[in-house]
Amino acid sequence: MDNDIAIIGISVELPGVRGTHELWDLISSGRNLTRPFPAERRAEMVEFIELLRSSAISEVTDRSLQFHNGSFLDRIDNFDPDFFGMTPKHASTMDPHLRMIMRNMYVAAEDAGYVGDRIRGSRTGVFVGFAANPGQSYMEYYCRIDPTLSQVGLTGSIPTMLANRMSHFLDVRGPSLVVDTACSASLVAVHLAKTALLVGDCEMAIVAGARYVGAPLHHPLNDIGIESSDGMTRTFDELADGTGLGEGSAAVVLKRLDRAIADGDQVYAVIKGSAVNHDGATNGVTTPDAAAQAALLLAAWDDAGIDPRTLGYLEVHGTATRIGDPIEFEGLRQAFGQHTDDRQFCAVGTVKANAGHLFEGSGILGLIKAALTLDRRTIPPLANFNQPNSRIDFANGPVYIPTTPRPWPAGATPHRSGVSAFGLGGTNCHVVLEEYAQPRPATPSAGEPYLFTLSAHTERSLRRLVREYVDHIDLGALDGENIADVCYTTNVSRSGHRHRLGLVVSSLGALRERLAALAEDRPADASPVFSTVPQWASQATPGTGLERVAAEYAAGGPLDWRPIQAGRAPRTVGLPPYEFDERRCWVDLPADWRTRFVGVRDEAPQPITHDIVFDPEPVPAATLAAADVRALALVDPAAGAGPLLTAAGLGGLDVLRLAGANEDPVGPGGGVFHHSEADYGRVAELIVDGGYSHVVFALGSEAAAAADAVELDRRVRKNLSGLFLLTRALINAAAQVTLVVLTRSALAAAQGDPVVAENAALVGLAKVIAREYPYLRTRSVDIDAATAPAQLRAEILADRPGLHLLRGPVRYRELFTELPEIAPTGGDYLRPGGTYLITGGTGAIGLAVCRAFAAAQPGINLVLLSRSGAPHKATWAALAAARGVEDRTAKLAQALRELELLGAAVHVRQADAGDPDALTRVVDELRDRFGRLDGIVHAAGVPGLNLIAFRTLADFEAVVRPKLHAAFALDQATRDDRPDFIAYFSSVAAVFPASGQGDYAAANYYLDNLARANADPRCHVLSLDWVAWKEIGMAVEYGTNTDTTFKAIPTAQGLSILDAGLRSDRSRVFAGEVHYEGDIVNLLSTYDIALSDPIAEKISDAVAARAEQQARAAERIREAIEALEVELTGRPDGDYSEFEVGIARCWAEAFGFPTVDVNADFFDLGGDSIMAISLVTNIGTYLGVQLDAADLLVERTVAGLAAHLAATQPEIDGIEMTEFDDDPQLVGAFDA
Amino acid sequence: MYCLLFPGQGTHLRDVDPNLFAEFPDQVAEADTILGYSITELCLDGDGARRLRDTRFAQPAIFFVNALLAVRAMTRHPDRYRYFAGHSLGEYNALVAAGCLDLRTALALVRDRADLMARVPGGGMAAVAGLAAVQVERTLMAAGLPQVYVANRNSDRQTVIAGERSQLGMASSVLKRSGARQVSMLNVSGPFHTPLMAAAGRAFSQALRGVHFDAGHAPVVSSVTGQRFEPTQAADLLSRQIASPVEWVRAVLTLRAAGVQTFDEVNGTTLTSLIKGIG
Repeated sequence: MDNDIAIIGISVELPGVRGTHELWDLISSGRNLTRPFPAERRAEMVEFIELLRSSAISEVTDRSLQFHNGSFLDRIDNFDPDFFGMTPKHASTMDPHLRMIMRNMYVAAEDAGYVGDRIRGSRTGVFVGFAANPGQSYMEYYCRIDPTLSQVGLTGSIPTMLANRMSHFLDVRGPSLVVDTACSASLVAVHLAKTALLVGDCEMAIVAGARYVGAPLHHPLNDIGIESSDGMTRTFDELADGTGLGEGSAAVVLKRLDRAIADGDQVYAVIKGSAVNHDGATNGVTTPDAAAQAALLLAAWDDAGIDPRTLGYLEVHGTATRIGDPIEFEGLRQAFGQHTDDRQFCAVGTVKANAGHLFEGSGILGLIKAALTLDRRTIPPLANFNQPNSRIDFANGPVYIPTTPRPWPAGATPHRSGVSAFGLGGTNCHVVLEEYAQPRPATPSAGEPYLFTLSAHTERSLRRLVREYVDHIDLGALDGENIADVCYTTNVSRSGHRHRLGLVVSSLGALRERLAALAEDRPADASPVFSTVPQWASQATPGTGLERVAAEYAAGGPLDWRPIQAGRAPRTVGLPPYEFDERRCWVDLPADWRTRFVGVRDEAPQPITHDIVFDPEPVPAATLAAADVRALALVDPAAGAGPLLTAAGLGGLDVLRLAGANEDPVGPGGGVFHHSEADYGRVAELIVDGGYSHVVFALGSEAAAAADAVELDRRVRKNLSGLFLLTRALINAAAQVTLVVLTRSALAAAQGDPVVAENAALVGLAKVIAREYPYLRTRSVDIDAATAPAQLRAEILADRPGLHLLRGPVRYRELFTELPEIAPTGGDYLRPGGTYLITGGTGAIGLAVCRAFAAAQPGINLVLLSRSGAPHKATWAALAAARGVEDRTAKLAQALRELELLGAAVHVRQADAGDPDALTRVVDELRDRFGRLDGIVHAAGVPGLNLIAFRTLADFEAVVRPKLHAAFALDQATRDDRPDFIAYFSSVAAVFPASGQGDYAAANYYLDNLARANADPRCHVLSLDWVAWKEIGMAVEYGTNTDTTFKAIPTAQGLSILDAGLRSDRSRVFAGEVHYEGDIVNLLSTYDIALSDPIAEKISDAVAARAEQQARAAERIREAIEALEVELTGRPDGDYSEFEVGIARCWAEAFGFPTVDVNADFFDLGGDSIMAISLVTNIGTYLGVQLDAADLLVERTVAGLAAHLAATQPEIDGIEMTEFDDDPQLVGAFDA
Repeated sequence: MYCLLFPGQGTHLRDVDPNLFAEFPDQVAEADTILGYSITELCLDGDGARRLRDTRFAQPAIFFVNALLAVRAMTRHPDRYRYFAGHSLGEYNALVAAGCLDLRTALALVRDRADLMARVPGGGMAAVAGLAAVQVERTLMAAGLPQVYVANRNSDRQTVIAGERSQLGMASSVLKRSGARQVSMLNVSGPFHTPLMAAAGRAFSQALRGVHFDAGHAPVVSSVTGQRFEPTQAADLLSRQIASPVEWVRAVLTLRAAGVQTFDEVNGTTLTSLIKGIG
């Protein structure tokens, strides 16, 4: 007795079956519910599968569509969100399992007599058996239709909510959890609930399971392999070929038996004991095991303390599969064999034969059947059974199969039964039950009056309930019960809702007559009716004491049943379950989905390489008048662009001369300045205070290239660092001027043009300036010796952004074009036994290049220049083996070893590429040792990472040197003995630089220009402008290896571009594929470089397609909101503004309410921060206004928001953000 | 050792103690004169909430509430605070609390600063959570977005970016793809603390000309340099502040290195929660 658990409440929902009476009727009649998949659900599913197939990436060739027969519910789309305190919107995204479970748990609790105040705050546990079945979730369905619903649908979809939502709704505090052991889950949940009750984790427990099948597809690829061919479950029958699919839900309420008796609860049956085990290692994880099943039964019987010979009925798992049934029989035989040799004394059956297999929900349904068998003291027949399975020897076993219902006569011991459930993965559970034989002491009533109370969340529900009670009495379900207990049960478990009815009655007969009269809205007799339903309520004043109580109750007051039942020991009796006011809560597949559906376009492959060319372009018409130009020019007398500028005839021109070492610094009225941070600061102040419109930076106007490293360094400092210092000073002085960077013959307009290559770096820096600081409108003009003053004047007055080259009479612009193919002109570029220097060689990309070289030409010398060096060759093998794979040194050693294994001789030289002397020494040493350098890959470099405004000169130069100075040094050092090739690793930054890359862009632009200026046919100089590499290198280390305006380059692709480039005679390859599908591709158009027509066209197509997509999406939102019927309330005159109507529609869409009070607070209505974001987005889209989630924090009502919009809209500038405010602070405030 | 912290425009004035202003009638009267409107109405009336979304009103209001709360805190604990620091606007409160500036002068400066900052059009700010500041910068750079800048280095996990509004939208999508957990627009009108504010900063340096800063009785750590605020450099630091990123991480590390163990904050817990994310 101490360990006995009572089943005190039951709810069952199967197709066409509700409650224990209808379930027992189904079981005892031996009917089954198998039928075709209901037409309406089928039609919806066919459409959806069509959508899935249309959008599948692999084409679906087999378009056949067949559905299993099974025990299917007519509808799975219904719910009563109001009753459960949810918005219709949330309900429409709620998983049908959760809906069924909530309904059935509530009804089971009500059946037990424990809802509302009677259960609130109690330590009641909630246990659910459930498993998510792949491809069947409702969320997957509706997210296909509208992915934005995933957030609102979350709490209706995650499995834990199956238990937690009910604990929350009932406000109960016991354990709340979901069990997944596949088909045994809900019976294991019963076992856990029993244990929790016994150890005191809870004082009552609600246990439930549920199952629906969204798409019961009959197709070789979809079948699990245990499905019955015709949907019928024929357990133990010769024709059994699998299990029929079943849908439905069931719940029970459990309590310790002693407590249940003390509390006057009804008791369906008593759980005596239970056990759970696992098959262990069987032939396969899904193969059942007879020995494990036998051990399970023995353990359960032991736990229950019963002799199994006293069992009269066993509810078996019985899935009717060819393998499963004989194994289950064998388990029974083995287990009983431990206790008795008696034959065929215990009946077996399974409700699966009636209602199909509910999988995770099946165990609890079996438990209910076993309990009802005891309650009704009747052995029911096994449905669909005709001829015993010939592989089972029933005659020599302990069990027999009942084929007709037969009474279960009383014996020496109480009636006992058991129920089994076996999970697909091997978890088995068995529960032993016993009848509750002790009569519940009922105190008969002697005709005294009692108060019958009934209530519902809606009037419609209340009216239906009244009819149900009439039917219930008419069907004899209350025969033998007395009116006092009926009234008591309604008082404690049916009276807490808003819409109410109170009647004072003395007999069941009188109750029936009065309810029947109310069902027809007619008076039964003169007795008063107390109700919230106007048609029912009597006008009479309450007379007796009970009538006064009834009147107060109907008026909304609390109901205290104790005085009414004074002196009795009241009992809970079975009454009709609540009538939910349900409606369709479902995400519909739009009828016109086919027209909306846009399949994935066939993307034509885009070129992965591009080129930058100088494209002749006529001088555009002047947009400035010469008089408008007041320029300050900074010139270097030694370089000399001053005369040309003076001759150009601008409206005003003042010249500042770079001073010699001993000259005075800048003073009022111009003069001279020094190359120093302080002087550039003064120059900037002068420019701002002097009101100049233009600054011409003309220091980089040398006529011939630097001849040696010292001169190069001097010029880079004077010109490039000078421009950097000037720019920084101008930004700090908040200057707003046009900055013209004037160079002379710095750029090779044609291949091999003699140039002053170092000054090209200024162009790279200039490209970045305006991107970082738009108030400095920056242009680069590269003149040559033949440029006439009028040309320069026209150029400045044309005022065009970007770089322009003036070559004689011709003017060129920079143009970005496609390079679909790199035509090979030569063969192998690696000589057998050749020696190749790779700077940055121990970096990831350097090593990848080495590997490619070593593989292509085994036996070469690979010289890796590295700033950080590498461990000695003798230690490579040991290091690679000894340390973890993530250790940098070990990784490097491993990579170097691999190069040797490929057949290369690997030499590492430690030197800083930014130190030209060190570099020259390495080259000299290599020449001494190997005779000749056959090729150079200059891959060294460090990235820049700061805005000019915040960058120090030292940091700026540290980025420039390893690229620029190193390339110059390598070029110089090999001047007399040219290698076969030099490949410079330049960057996208030279062409499309980002903010913060001024130094990096400058240095790389120099590399590009150096390659283009090469005129020596013996040496192929190639510059490669790389976009980010996807798998290795700097971008990976920095986490910037994502697709941006360009797609990141896979390593193999990068190496093949390098290979193709070296086989060609090109001096430049831009290595990168434009990411046309990306959302920021349009950024390319914002750069000053011109885009070729095909590229510009593709970008504008992509932008248009994106805009169209967004417009379509916005239009869809508008249509959806427009289609909503919404009624506004809250203002007596019923006069609402346009804004209010529009906003109310959006609220209706967000909450699902058909009526919106313009003064209702968003948060009081159940709004949360996530909803706030989508709501303001929708209001913005629908009304075409700018609104922020923060506004919703201040204005929380429709009326308030409308007033806010009316007041602010004209001032809004129309810039729309893609992201809305989700500031943690705001979210906190929302949540609070 | 204790440090008293002052939040900037990132805090809000939803929960201002209604009795606060009544406690300081003289200061309130002075503020009304300097501002030309009633500070009480601005902060406490329901209608004020709308005006407070405007930088021109938000900055003086936050500064003034911060300042009164500081008086309260320092009256209660007269000798507790050895260091002061403030986030952007809050730096003015730190200077007042440390005795470098008087309340009236500071309020007038804040008023002018707010006017200048509010005049810079077409920008916005957004908080990026879940990516290190350097990662935010690198990601913006890799994408090639011009005119989006790091504006506040607030903690190891939060960076505020600012710049041109449409580009902030693109930045948001790029940053999320690179792993940012959240990108949230802040309720401010301009690209504060970026080079786009340079003109405002320069104009403000005029307002600072002739303002005298005392040495003060306790050190302030600057949110511009993250180092000790040298009152002799005040005009330069405060004008630069408008167009420079707020180096809050550095400031906090400096304070900790100086021995500060406990940070008290007036007017909310915005900075306290940021400090928890500075390792």
